[in-house]
Amino acid sequence: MGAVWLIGFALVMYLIGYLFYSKYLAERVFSLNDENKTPAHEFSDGVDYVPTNKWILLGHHFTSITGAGPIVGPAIAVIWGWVPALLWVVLGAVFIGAVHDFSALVTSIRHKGRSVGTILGEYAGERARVIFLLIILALAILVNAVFAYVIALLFTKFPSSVIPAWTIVPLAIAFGYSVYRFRVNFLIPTVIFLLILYASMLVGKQFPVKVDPVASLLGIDPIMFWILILFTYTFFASSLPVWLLLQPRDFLNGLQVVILLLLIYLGAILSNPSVSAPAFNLSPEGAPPIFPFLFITIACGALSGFHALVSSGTSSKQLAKETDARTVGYLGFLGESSLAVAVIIACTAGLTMFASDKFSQLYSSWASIKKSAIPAVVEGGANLISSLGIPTDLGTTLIATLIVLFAATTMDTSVRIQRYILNELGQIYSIKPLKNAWLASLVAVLSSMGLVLAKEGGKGGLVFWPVFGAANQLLAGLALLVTYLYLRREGRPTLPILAPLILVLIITSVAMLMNAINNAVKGDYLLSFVSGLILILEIAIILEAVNAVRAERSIQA
Amino acid sequence: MKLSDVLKEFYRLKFGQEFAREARRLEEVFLFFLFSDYFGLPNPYKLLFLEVYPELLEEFHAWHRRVGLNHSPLDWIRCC
Repeated sequence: MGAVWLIGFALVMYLIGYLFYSKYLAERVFSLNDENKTPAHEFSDGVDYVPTNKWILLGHHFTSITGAGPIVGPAIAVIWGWVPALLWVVLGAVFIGAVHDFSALVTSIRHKGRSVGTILGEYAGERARVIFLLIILALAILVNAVFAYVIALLFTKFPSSVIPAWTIVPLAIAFGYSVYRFRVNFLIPTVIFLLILYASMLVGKQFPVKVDPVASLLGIDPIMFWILILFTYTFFASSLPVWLLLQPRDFLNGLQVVILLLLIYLGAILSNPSVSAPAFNLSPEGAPPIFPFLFITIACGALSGFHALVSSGTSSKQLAKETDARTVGYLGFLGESSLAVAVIIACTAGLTMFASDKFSQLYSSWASIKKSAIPAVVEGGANLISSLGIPTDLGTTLIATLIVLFAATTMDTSVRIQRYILNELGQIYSIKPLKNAWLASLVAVLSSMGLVLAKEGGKGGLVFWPVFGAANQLLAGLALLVTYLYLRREGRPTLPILAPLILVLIITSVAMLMNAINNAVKGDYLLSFVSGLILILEIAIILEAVNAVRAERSIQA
Repeated sequence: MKLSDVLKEFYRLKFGQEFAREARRLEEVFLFFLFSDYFGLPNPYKLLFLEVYPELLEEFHAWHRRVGLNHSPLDWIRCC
């Protein structure tokens, strides 16, 4: 079967979801009404609250939620066959993920643009808010552990990506400074800086950077070497003011996301390779069972709780009209999900374009994908875009660099998030040292680094991915819980929110229980312990949810 | 909408906000000085500041909303 059919299936489902299901949610469940003033108008201050054109807001929202997440998950999950992965990505997005993003956005605008965590505190009390913070903390630690490994792996497998990936650092600083200093037309600096970035890819291709000699001199593995470098860099980068590095980087990355999607889809449509990976492979060697693990391996792309932070953090303060939430929240998520579909196509069809046994080689067992899933995306994607006339070696540099850029920006952001949370926990429980920014950063970096290096000197970093997925969905569960409590209070239909909420809680708790037990039996106590921690947070949430619903009931009675 | 306008808005959302926030912080320090007499702190530039009071009514309104006061905290400034 040709890859075009997969694209067609996804687009048709997205279209149906957007036209009908999101309309149902907007009208029947939330009764969006443009007569209601949104926080952007009510508190309009030209800074945090600004009514914004919905298509531009969609662009901002979409590029903020899309990163390396929807690339890593599907790249691993196609080991169970492309059909289950595709179905979960597309149907999960339409009925769960997009609903979650959309509802978090609407719930926030109905609560003066407050963030999900604050609203949760309002409905369920301070303790629930602390659990919320702990989940985000766990999420940030896990995502940094995994992404550091992903970047280190890409640097060792595709040394041509090293130069362009580091070029972005001075480039972003110069870009941020130049647009601030010379308030000229934005188009010119943007185009110039993008051209420099792409030119650096050509340079990188000419001069691949291999660190093996340095690493062996130090007596460590190249992957471990890069992991150490990355965490050192992140420690300092995350201490810089956001406008100096992170935000210009985010701006340039946002444009890259769109470019990457366009390239892969155009390439796939032009070349239309046949999908040669197996449709189903229900018990790959060494892999955990498909249920529930497929559903937590693909979190971003099908359901991601981190989006609720974006929805209720920035987007809700910029929404000009209530009905725009459909475009920004629902359609924005479908955009992210389409990247996951692109990755599935790259790994199952693009990968085998020039060598038909490539998929069976790279995906031979669960143990082997730790090293080969990410390179599979790079190679598959490069094969696809080669039909646009981009040579494969440049294509691999391009895609490897983009994945590194997305992952590195996420690392920077999540160290900052960890620091804020540690500060806040320090404040809640009056622990003085946690309020120190440098110490909090150090704790943040060391916790992630310890986690990834404890796994075979960094080489097994990807095993934490499913646990990250579970934590991410737990966060989504909390956001859904907030919406559910809100809809209950308003006496509106709750089923479209309650059903995904229960499903998410079942999937994640079964998965974490199995992960904790199976790994303890295998003797992998670290993974077992981390899964156990997530399970404990999960139980705490369920108890809080029951509590909140009960409290609500007693108020009504 | 022109492409450069789209990019400009995109920039505002991605990181223009941070600059605007910093500018606002400076303004808040200024406002604090402006109303420092009210808090019992002497303001050496009192006479100079007096001239700008009428200009700042609107700003004052936005400020007290931002800091979480729904109505003007000062009964002699009746912005709302």
